[in-house]
Amino acid sequence: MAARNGELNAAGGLLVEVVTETLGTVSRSTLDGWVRSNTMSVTAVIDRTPMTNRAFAVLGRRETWYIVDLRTMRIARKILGDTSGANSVTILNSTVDATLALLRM
Amino acid sequence: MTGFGSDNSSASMRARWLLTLSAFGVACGQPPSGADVMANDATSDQSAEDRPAMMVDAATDSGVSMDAGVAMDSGVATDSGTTADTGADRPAVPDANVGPYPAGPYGNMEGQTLEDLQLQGYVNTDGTSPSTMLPFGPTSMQDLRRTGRRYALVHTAATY
Repeated sequence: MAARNGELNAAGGLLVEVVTETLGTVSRSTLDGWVRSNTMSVTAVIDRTPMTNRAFAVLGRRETWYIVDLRTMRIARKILGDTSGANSVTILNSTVDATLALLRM
Repeated sequence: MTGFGSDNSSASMRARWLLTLSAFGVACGQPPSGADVMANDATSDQSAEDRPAMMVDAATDSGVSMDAGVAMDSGVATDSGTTADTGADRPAVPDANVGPYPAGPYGNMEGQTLEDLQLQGYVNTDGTSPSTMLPFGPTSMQDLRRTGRRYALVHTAATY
C-alpha cells in the first residue's frame, strides 16, 4: 500500500482510510491499533462523534472504495469490495489505477 | 604702526572673506565642518516644526501607513487566536482556497455529492511517516479538500 500511496500522492491524489464499526463505536485506540498493525502511512480517520456512527451510515460497510473529486465532492466511482478482505490487494490496485487515470486526464 | 595696522586690517579682511566663502559653501551644499555639523544634526533631530511643511506631511502620512499595517497585523493575530481555539493537536493542512463545501443534496452513489463528514484522526498527506507519529485531531471532508489534492480515494475499513 505504501508504494501505491506514494504514486497517488505524487499524482495529486489522497488516500483516506475511514475506520468504522458496525457492532460498536470506534475509538481512537481502535484507530491507533489498526494503523500500527497495518503500518499505515496514509490519512486515517474515524467518526468525530463515534456514537453517531455517521461515517458508517454514509460510507457503508468495510471494503467500499470511493473515488471523490475534491473540488465538487462528487463521487466519481464507487467500488464494492469483499467484507472478508479477500482480494483486498487486487481491489486496492484497481482502485488506485482508476484514481490515477482520473488524475492524469 | 601702519604696518601693524595694515596687518590688522588685512587679517580682518581675510576673516571676512573666509566667513563669506564659508557661508557660500554651506549655501551650495558643501558639508559644513566640525561644530557646525553637530549643530546641524542637533537641529535636524529637534522637531518636525523645523521641517518644511511637505516633509512634515510626508512623515505624518508615513506614520498613518505604518499604523494601517499594525492594524492588519492585529487581524492576523485574531486569526491565530481562532486557529488556537481548534486545538493544538489539530492536523495541519495547507489552506487551499477551495471555497465553501458543495451544497447538497448528498448521497453515497456515483454522481452524488458526498456530505461533509466530521472526522478525527491523522491527516497524512506526504505518506512518509507512520500516521500515529502525526498529531491526532479533528478533521472533515472540507479539511481534506483544503489539502489542495484533486481526487481522494476513500476506503472504508473495519477491525472486524
